Amino acid sequence: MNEPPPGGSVDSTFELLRRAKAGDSAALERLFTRYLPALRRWSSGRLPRWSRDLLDTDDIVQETVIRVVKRIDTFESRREGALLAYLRQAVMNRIRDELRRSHRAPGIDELDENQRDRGASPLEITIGREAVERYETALARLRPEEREAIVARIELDGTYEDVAQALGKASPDAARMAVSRALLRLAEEMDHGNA
Amino acid sequence: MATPESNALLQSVADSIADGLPVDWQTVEAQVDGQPLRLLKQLRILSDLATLHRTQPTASSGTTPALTARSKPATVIGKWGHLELIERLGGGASSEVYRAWDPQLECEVALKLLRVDDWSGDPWSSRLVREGRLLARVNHRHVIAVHGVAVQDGRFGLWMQLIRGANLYRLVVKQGPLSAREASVIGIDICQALAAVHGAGLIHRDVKAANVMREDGGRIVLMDLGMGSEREATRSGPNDFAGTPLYLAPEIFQGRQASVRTDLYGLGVLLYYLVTGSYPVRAATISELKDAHAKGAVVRLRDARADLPTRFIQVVERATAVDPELRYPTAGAFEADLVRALDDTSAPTSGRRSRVSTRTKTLIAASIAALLVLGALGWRAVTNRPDAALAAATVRSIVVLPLENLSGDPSQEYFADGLTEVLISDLAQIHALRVISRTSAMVYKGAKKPLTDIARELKVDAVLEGSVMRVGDRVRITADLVDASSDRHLWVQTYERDLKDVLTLQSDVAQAMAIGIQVQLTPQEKASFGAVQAVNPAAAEAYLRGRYEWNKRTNDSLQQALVYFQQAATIDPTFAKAYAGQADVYNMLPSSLKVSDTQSSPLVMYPLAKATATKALGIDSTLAEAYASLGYARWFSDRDSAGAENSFQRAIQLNPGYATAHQWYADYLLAVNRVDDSLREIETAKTLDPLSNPVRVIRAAVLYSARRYDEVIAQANEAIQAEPINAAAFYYRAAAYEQKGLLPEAENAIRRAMELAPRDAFYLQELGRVAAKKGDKAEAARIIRDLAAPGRPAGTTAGPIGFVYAALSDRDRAFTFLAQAEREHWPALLWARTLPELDPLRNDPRFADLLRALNLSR
Repeated sequence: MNEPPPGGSVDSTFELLRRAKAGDSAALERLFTRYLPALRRWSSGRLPRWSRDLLDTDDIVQETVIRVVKRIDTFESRREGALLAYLRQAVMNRIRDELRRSHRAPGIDELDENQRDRGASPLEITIGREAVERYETALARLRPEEREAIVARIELDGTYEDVAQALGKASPDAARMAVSRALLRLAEEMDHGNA
Repeated sequence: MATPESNALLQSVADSIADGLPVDWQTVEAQVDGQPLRLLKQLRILSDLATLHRTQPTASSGTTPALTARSKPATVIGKWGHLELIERLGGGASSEVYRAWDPQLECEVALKLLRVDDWSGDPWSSRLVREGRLLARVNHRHVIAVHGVAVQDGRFGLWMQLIRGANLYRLVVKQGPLSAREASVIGIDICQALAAVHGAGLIHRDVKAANVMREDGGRIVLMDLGMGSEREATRSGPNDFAGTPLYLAPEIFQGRQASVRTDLYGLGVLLYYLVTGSYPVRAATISELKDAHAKGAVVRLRDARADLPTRFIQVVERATAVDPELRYPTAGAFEADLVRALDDTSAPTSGRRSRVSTRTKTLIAASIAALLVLGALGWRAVTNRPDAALAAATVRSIVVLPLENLSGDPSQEYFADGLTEVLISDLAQIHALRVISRTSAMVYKGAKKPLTDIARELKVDAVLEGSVMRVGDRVRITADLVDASSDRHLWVQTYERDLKDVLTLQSDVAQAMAIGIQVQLTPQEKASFGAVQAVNPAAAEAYLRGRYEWNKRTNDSLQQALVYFQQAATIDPTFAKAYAGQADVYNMLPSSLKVSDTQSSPLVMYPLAKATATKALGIDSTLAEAYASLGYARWFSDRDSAGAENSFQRAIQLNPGYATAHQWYADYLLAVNRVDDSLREIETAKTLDPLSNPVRVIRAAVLYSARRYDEVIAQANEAIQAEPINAAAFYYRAAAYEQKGLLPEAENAIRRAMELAPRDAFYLQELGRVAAKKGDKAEAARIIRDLAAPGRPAGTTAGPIGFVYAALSDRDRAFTFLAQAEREHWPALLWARTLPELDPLRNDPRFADLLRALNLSR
């Protein structure tokens, strides 16, 4: 999301989706260009280091996007943010599946010499596994627009311009307010989860 | 409870997180409680999450590899450029490492190959290039040598020396923790490697056990400069984990730059790991790690493995100090201390550094095991081990050994010594504890005696040893109390403070130790510990320098001490101890047998002593030193018997462990002819300060006045044995022999004293007395002329001449000169009631007049 989506308009995104689904490889490449860097970066925070020898981050992200494109028949929302959140969740599910399949997700006890090679993802190492779970649960309970704001800005590090476009907001300032409010709502949900 | 203020605060924090701005969590969390605080804690997690995602490595931008052009990880043996791949040795997310044959160099090499084939603009490729270039700048036998870096067959590769052996991480996993000696040897090599890295203008940034190989031949090789960087421009973000978190210096988590000192911190952690298999700061997540750093939750090496040599522990603790300024500034300085530590570990069966019983080792092993299980909380369990409970019944007397100066700068010796004295003085206030005084403790400075021997010699239950390190205005003190009979560590603490709090710090150490060994503090003692004030750092420093000079007790050092104490008082006019120090000096200058200086005339000095002691007590009425000085001055200046006695008793009440107060009180009691009381006080002083020569000499003086001449000789001989240049001890030996009528022995002894202090009038009069008793009146007369000759300081000769006339039985002249001595406040005359020299004059009515004039007639 650091790069503003080429073409920029929401319509073009959904047009690209439609064309890619119809087998237009150029359209697929453009979707990749638009979403893969941010999703890859995001997933590198979610994949345990050890797993990256077995699972190639790029493979996972790319294949997930392809699957999503192929399976999407109708995408009800016309917000790009919804597509992003959807893609993000799809990649997340795929990572979970892969980790389950690999039968080796060692629990974290203490950091050790090779912490970067062990079972915890960088995010789990940073905030703890329990907090990650609480976060995911709380995120799922947010309203779609709130969730999309969090994903676009906090997870995928989009600019406020990106976020405004993804959420269909009038201005970056409006996007900023939406993110800030969503953060407070998320904190409340996480606190409930903590109770 | 949510309020408009707390809502606004939460909103502002959320805005900061959204904007990617840092939040001062400690401050904001302190402003709310209840639900808003809980929400803040969730926001903190979200902030960490946002930062993590923001700081993940940037993926290739713009150019997405085409689906069909992606390469599979190279797992098959093949070729890369001119290199023939033999075996895959390992790999990570970004690269794979092969053993390869280089036909050009005709040797095996290690080849690091990037996984991705499209490397243009890829961060991993630029890192590999950088690693190659950085390594090429370092040429050292303990740093991996690079052969080249290139793109071949569309893949990026770096090839280098192949090291056959194991990395230190695996070594410890396989063999268990190493000895301090092994770790020191390895550490020395790594220091040299890092010196070469730093010398090339680089920072390694990922010093850890897994990045150091021990080659099969034993050579230590530092690997992996993949995280390395130029010494300039090495700032890292709060979640930029370039390096391995457990090895990262605490300041890195605050976003500070990687530096030589952060590399050396990493090496400190590595050494810690080598000897424990664990880490000084333990945590399960980065957040926990940050918190642990913030709270200073460090498992000290001495707690993790108390059996290690103290010096090695000190090296590691210095390397891993929280404050970068307290760490080694260079790899060279680190290495030098490791070399010294190695000396210390080379004689494992002798010396005070290796004194741990098998049982203790078992306890330590159990502690380490417990730590491994308990994780971050374990250290608390260890510092509260049962030894402390055992201490309650056993420790009622201790010695504080001179704190070791870890600054590496001998000119800082005064600082360590001064703090030792302050600590002793603070502990001595505790009535329930007998604390060996400074003079006796200092005898063991630098000595490598087993602690049990030291304890036996001083008849104490426990020994406190420790170290001081000071960098700029930060001070770090480590204190370790060891039970003398069992060699168990009873209590260990490390403190780090600002210099201005250094005196408070000593008071804290004293109080914490008392609590640690379960000594009951009286309310007055507690109040006294609580009353210690922070002082201006420069004033504290001047004071400590003053104490250092004062303790040398030479004329020059006393003058120097006075200058420092005056400086301290000028800088901080409310610093009571600075005035008490001045009073001590003023009291000592005239009464020192070695001093003959008009500037130090008693008529000038004692009133100054009284004035400064009074000033000190006006600021702090609990200062035992000031009361003792006041008593001394009251007696010598005003001959105020009642006032002096009150002051001495008050000093002893305030600080029963202050040996000098007992010593001076004994002196006073002797003057007022309470010889038995005087003996009792001097015995107390001797118990507190058994190795002090001033105490030995005063004890000889007391015994002399008690006419116990054989004991005088024995006591003087003990002092001479400890300090063969102690003129005063020779004097008492001479005087006792003279009283016993053994005149040749007396003459020998007094001539020795005069060799040591040729101009001293008091020793010369003793030679005159011996001559008189031998019947050599001409020699006695010559000595009297010598004493009366011009050039001797005023006020120092009338008394000695009077004493020689007394030995010549010339009463008239004796009384004439003694009367003059009385007017001149000649100090020795204050003991007129008990001095054996004056026995021939006692039945003369003029003697009563003399005593009256001296205010000694009762």
